[in-house]
Amino acid sequence: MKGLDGRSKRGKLSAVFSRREWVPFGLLLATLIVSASLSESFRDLAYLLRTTTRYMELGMTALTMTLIVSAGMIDLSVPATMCCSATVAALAFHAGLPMEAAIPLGLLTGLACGAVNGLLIAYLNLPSMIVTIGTMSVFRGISQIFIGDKSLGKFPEWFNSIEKIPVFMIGKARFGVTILAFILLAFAFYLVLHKTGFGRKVLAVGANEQAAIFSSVNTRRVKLQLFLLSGFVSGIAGLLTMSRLLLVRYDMNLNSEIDVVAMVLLGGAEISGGNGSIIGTFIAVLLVIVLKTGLIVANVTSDAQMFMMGLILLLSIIIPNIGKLVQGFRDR
Amino acid sequence: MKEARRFVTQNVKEFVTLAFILLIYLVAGVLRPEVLSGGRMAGVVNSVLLWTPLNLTMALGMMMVVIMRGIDLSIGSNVALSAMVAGILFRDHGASLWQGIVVAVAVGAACGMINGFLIAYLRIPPIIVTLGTMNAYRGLTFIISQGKQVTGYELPPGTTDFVAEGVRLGGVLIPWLVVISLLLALVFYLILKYTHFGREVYAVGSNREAAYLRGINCKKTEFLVFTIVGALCGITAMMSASRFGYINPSNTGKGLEFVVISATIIGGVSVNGGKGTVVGVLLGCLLLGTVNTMIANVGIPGTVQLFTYGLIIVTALLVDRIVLSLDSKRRMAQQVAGKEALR
Repeated sequence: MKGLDGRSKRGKLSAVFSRREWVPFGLLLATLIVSASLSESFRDLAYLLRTTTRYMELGMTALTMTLIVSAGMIDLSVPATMCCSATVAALAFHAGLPMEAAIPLGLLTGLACGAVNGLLIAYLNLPSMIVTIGTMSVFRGISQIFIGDKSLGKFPEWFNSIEKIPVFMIGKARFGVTILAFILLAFAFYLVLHKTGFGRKVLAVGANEQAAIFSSVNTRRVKLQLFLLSGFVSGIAGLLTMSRLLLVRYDMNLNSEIDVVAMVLLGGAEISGGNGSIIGTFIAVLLVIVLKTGLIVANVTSDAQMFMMGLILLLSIIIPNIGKLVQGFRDR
Repeated sequence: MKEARRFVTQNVKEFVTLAFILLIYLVAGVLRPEVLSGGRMAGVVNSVLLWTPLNLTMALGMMMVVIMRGIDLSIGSNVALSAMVAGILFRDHGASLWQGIVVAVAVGAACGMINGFLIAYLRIPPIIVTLGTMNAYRGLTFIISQGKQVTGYELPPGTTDFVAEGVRLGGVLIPWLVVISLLLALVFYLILKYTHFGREVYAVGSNREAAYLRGINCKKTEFLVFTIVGALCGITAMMSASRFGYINPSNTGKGLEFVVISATIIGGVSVNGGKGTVVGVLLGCLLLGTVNTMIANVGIPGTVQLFTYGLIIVTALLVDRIVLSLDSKRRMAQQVAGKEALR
């Protein structure tokens, strides 16, 4: 039963239970239970937090990607942007700038990358997927030009391993900067997408761009803002990755654009736009993290992990839509 | 003269791509005149030719998928899986080359059918399905190969002959791989232009509802298209084994999907569906092949190649957009002029 506004007419409780986020949540619980029963170390929160930090950086970019996908677009250049911003920051540091000045420079690079994507996509009406496939090579190419096959490192002591700085501890479990930054960012993005005018505009652009234009939404500006945001957050994530790895190479996060998109889609965002959920993405990021670490702990080889990831992505789409699928089988 | 002009205006996109290829040769010629001189030229043409067949074969399939408003990200993994199955048959069971080819095509088509079933009959968006199967097929490749590659010695004799031998045209050797892919292109040109199935692909892509009401079985068409793409993956798998002389679970077909999608879009296939021609896709593949070859030949250092490659994709998109908008403005002006004349 759907009302005119697309919401369920039944009670609030059933509305809560019919949300798409339950699927990644269920999968998350299942994988947690399986992993915990398979391995001793997985029941240790301290271990979990220690090993999962590295996926949080990609998780941050998955949040902005949720907004972009909700607006009916895609940004495949995210890992390349991360790499490019980190490269510029590292180069600036090695050129003699203090690290305090190099960091804003890296963030600015992220913004600039986002601006290039945004201008091409919003103001020249080019398809986002193809543009970002092109700029993916451009951005990574920039860092390859400057770094080549070497790596840049030797950053000041305070910059290295930021993620290990404990903000607070629960027993032995350490909540580091990266984890808290991810959680805070997720909360901020939840408010942006679901509680602000900007979020409504993003969803409007994704649902029906023509209708959004007629409702006096400046769709071009919304798109540009989205890509600027994506570039900026990618910049932050890139610098955090650099701090964790203690160095930059041109192949930082190579081929992980697919992981980011998978996190967003697992979270229930619709690839055609108009529908996306930050809570869903948040759960999906946790799911991917638990899956990856859980499978490692359970001694599943990395190749079998890949197979599992693919299967879970497919299952997470198929399970919630079984009713729809049976119907879809019948109609055109 | 008038007809020639109409021919150009009707195929603007193809001509722009062609102009872009010529422009790259021109720039290369200005930067390094010796690249286009007699001795080097044959080498350049040969490496462009060798770069093209795998991508062209895949792009023919991708074109049909994109015309139907879909996308297939799993092709690289599908190529790896079908190549690996054939490779294991070669290595452990002494299969002959032809048996291997048949098996690879069958495995590829089966993988394509899985994609097709999920997309056409269960109506799950293609990007999600193929993102999932992309991981699944690649993982499966690792699992069945146990992470080991099939080396050149384990391939049946004659596998690499498809690259080394071919038709001699003037002074240039055209390898069998290129001949095969060009023949495939011809076949697909005819299928898309003159058969029911080909026209149905365009019909479903430009307006699914209308196609349904015309009595076209949209699901069957979509399922068939993905199956054909799978079969093409099998052919490409064998081409890749022949071209590179080994089958590696992680290298074979890696990143193929992005190159092929770029070639398809640069070749003028519209992501909004319903538009695209085999000639355009062929030119798109040639353009990317030329870019790749010229970057190396002009002496741009290896570290700048990735950047240049990306820059050229973006530039090609921009040029395409500018020419198209100029063209549509001209057409609108003509229409207005026509109406004025009627009054």
